[in-house]
Amino acid sequence: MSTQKEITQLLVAWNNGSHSALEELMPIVYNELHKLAKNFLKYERQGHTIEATALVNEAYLRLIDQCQVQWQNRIHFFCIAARIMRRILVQYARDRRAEKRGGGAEKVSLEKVILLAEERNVDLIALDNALELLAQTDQRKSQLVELRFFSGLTFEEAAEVLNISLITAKRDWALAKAWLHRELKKEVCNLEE
Amino acid sequence: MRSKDLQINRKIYWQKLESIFHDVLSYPTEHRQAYLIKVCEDNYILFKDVESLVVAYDKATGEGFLDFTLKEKH
Repeated sequence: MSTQKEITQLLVAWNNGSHSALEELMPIVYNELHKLAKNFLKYERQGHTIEATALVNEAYLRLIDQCQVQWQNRIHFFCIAARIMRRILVQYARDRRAEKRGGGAEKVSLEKVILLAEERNVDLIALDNALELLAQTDQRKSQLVELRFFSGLTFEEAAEVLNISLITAKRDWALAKAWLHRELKKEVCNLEE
Repeated sequence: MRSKDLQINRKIYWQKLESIFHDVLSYPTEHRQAYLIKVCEDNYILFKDVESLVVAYDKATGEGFLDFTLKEKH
């Protein structure tokens, strides 16, 4: 088990351009987020609501030594966490779908997060597929949506991660939103045909 | 055509689409169609592509599509 100090150093090293540091960081953050998601199930029974971005915040507080990092490192952490949170949530959504079909998948603990997405008419699995497709044409826009939607970064923070201006981030967002909406609605139409 | 050429063409197309998309949005709704027809000239594919994105943008904005993070409470 890595200490907080070591993980913080990995984050700083990654921020300075070390790719191997990122590879070391990913599984640590993944495990932490998974563990937190499981723990949150217990709280859920006591009437608390699961918040995906709360999990990311919690993981950050647990893993990173606050005194050693600058805010740039903080948002880079959220950048990895967004990728991981996307994977975890989409996996949960898939398990849940399998369970509905009578596949007997494991108990789903992020139910409420997925329900929230569904309430807002967002199918997480379809969104995940559409983001993959968008990334083939425009990696940056796909990543921007991931950062905003799955990790809760503000436009300012996401712009810093992607090394673009705030205006560009907002323009990217507008096109990505339109593109994804068109893509997702098309998918619904095709299914209905 | 080699795949590299195709990729370059796709990139050029995407940049053009992006630029027109933002230009169209800067016009008032009633002038968008006319501007789009003018700027796309006889490129019908590009015209339909941008048009559908602008329609999707308006719908998405109206619905608040993706305009939330997964942290809001019920």
